[in-house]
Amino acid sequence: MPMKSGFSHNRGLEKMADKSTKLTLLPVARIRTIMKSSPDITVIGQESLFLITKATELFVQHIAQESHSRSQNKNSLVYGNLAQVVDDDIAFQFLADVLPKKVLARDYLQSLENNS
Amino acid sequence: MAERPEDLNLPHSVITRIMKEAVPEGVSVSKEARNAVSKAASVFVLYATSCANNYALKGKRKTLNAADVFAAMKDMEFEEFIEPLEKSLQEFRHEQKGKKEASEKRKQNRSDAEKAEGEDSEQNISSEMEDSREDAEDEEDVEGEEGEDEDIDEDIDDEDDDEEDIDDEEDGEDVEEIEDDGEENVGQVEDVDDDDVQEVE
Repeated sequence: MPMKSGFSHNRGLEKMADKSTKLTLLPVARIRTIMKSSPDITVIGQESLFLITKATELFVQHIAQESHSRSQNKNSLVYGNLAQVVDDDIAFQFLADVLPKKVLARDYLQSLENNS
Repeated sequence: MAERPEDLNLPHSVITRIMKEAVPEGVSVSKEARNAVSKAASVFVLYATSCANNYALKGKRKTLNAADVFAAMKDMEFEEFIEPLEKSLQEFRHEQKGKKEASEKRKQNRSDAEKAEGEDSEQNISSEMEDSREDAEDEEDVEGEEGEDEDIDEDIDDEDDDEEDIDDEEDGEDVEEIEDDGEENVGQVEDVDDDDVQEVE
C-alpha cells in the first residue's frame, strides 16, 4: 500500500525535524531530575514538566535581560550585575542566598567590628 | 533523588546560548555570571516545583498539572511568564495530539475508501491489525526519544568539562576564598564555645 510506506518515511523525517526545532532548549530529563530531588513531590505531569522547563528558559532570558539593562557597562555582563538585580527586584528575592552581593573580606570584618 | 550532585546542574552550553540571545549581540557574558545563572536556574526549578506542588497538595492531587504551574508563576511574581507559557503549552498539546490525530485521520480516510468499495469485513480486520501495530510503534518511540535525550546530555556535559579545564585556575581561586572565610568563622565560633565551657567548669 503506497500510503503506508509514505507514512513510515515521513515519520523518520519528523523525528529529524524534531531535533532541530524542538519545543524546549533545556533537557526535559534533567529538569525532571531536579524536580524529583524535591522530597515532597510525588508525580510530575507531562504538561507541568514541560511548563517548568519552558519557564526556566524564560527565567534565564529574563534575568540576563534585566541584569544587562540595569548595568552601567553595556558591553559585558558580570556577576555584580546579577547580584544587583537580585538585590533590587522583589521577584528575584528567592535567589538572595544563591547570588549574594560580593563583599570584600576587609569590609565585612570592619562591619563585624562596628556591630560588636 | 539524584545520584550525583552534577545531575542537578543544567547544561552550561544551553544556558550560555539563552543568555547570549537575551542580550544584544557582542555583549560578553563572564564565566562567573554564567555559572551564577546556571545555579539560579536550578534553584528556580526547585522553587517553582515547590510552589506548584503546594497547589496540588491543596487540591489533594498527587500529580502536578499545568494549572498548578501557572498558579505558582503568579505566586512567584513571574506573571509575565504566564502568557508565553500558555502559548508554549498550546504548541506542546498540539504536538502531543499531532501523531494520534494524524493516524486517526489516515485510518478514517482509509476506512471511508474501503466502505465505498463495500468490503466491511476485511476493513475491520485490517484496522484491528493496524491498531496493535501502532501501539507497538508508539512505545518504541517513547523509549527511543528518552535515549536520545540522555545522549545529548552527555555530549553537552563533555563540552562543559573541556571548557572548565581551561579556566580551572580562576574557579579554584573563588572557591578557596569562600572556604577560607567559612573556616575562619567556624574557628571563631569554636573558640567561643571552648571559653564558655571552661568558665562553667
